[in-house]
Amino acid sequence: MVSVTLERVTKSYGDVVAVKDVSIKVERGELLVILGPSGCGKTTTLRIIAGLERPDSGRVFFDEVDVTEVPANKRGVAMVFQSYAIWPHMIVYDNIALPLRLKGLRDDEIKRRVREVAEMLKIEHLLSRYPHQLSGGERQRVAVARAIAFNPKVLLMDEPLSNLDALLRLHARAEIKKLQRKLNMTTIYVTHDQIEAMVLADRIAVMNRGVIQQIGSPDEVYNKPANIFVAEFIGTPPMNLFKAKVEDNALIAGDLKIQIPQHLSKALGNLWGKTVAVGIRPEHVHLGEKPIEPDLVQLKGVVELVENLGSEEIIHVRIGDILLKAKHSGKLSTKEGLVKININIRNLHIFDLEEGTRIT
Amino acid sequence: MRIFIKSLLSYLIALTIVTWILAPLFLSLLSAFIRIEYYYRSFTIIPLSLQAYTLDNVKLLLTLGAHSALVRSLQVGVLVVMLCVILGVPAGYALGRFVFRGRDSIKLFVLSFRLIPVALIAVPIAKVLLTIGLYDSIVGLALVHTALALPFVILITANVFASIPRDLEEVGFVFGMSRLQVFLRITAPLALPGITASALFAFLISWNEVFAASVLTLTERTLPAFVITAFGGGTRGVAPDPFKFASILFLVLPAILIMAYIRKYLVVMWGTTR
Repeated sequence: MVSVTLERVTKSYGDVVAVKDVSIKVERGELLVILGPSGCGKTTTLRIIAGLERPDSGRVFFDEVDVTEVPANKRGVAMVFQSYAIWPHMIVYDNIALPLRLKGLRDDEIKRRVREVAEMLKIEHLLSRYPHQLSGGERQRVAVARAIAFNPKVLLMDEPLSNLDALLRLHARAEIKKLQRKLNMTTIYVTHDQIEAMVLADRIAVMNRGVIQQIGSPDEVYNKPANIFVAEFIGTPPMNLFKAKVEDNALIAGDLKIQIPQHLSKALGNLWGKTVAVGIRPEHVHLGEKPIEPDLVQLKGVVELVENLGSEEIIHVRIGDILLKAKHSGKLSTKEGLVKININIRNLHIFDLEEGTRIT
Repeated sequence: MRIFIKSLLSYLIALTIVTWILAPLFLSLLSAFIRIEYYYRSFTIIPLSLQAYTLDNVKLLLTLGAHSALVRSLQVGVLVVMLCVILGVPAGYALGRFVFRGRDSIKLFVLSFRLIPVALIAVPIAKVLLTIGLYDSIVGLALVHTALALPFVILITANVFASIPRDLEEVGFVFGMSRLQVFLRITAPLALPGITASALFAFLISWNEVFAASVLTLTERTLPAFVITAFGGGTRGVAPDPFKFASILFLVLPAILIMAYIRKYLVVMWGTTR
């Protein structure tokens, strides 16, 4: 097991820059999730760490050793592909055992290790089957078993759950989390699914257009998104965002007016007369009567739509030109008409409109 | 009811097609064993008495030298297969695996050799073979047949290699295999059925080829060339029909057996499944 460091790694294909100036450090035993929409360069980053792609510039280190020029077959990493990439002409046992044979392990040692991981992943009964006889979930477990049996320096996973159906995915997600805790393996996990990232990660690196937007713990990324992209990408439903003008010590957006509190006035001081992006998460928009407390802003809006999710409701409320989504656990008494909206100012996210970066 | 009629209709169509192809074939093969006097009787297509059938037609063919022609056909075919695999598989691998400038042009270029009719270039080829001393030889004919079959082998194996997911090779590379090990342990076993099929296809092309074989050989005749000269063009078609049918038997049976084997790969070969 090693730590992995990327130092200013850049890779382009023709005119397209896939990965731009990416620097990450993954500690020993840490699970880092690289999260981003498709085509954001996350898979390319993973392939650079695996040695399947060579960066145009920048270095890759395993611990203190520079492995940038080391080919994939000498790096000692394991990878779980999105397609699982199980060799179709070999039974499951050979799929797991072949990498170990190439390592030069003794036969009884190989046998012991295959049994061990097969037990861990509950695939003992599948060892003598061919891949085409397995279901999607079983293939996924075989791919993970092969990677773990290899006892890699780093475990790389490229969207390993995206080909599973929803229910199985939830289950497999929890299994991977447990397994990684137990084995304490340095793991880099690529996904476009923000919930998967939140659940699995020790830290999340959010990527867009080849650039790392933010690296931090799930809580940091969720509660203090570094820019508008991260704010919108993480959270379901996504964060409410609207433009507001900073004027008269208040944020003004049409009918909506929020007094700027003491602790924010300093940060917003030099933005007088400018327009900023204001964000608030749906679960922080509270509807109905609430006792007045400091920092609480009370507004009135019109209910436009109620999406019933069973245990909770997503309620669309309109304040003038602005449409807010509110997450409301339980049932709202009024299904239409006017409703009181309570927003705690401490839950507001304010971003620079041009740069997209967080102001406060 | 509607479904029933639909499936009945499709069976009828299938039956028609099968009859269309198999009925003449069946009659030809059967006629190979009919005594000449019975064959030319009026109002009989399939004689019912057992005495009407004989092996004499086939025997006559053998005494005329059909067996050595058959052996030569096999020799040429095997040579063609070997040359096609040695030359065609690496080319197919390159075309199927790597993206490079001009790949599609090269594919088209390879296929364009088949646009030239053999009849047109047979005489120049004969001249070349005479010059280098390969006229009327098995090797010379095998070279020409290889030129005819190679484009197909290249394109088929290119498809075969392209259909093997890249991930399967890359994962091998990640798990410690060298490029050679990846090829030997992953790519080759997965491509083998397709390569075999394309090799047999090359064999069939050589086996069935008659024009070049007739023009480029005099004594070293392959089976089709032998049949043509013995019973077809050479004697102006005056040989009795059952002899011709007996030669059809020699020609067609191996082809049918090979086709039956490669049938399941043909679909993959031509890429119609993806």
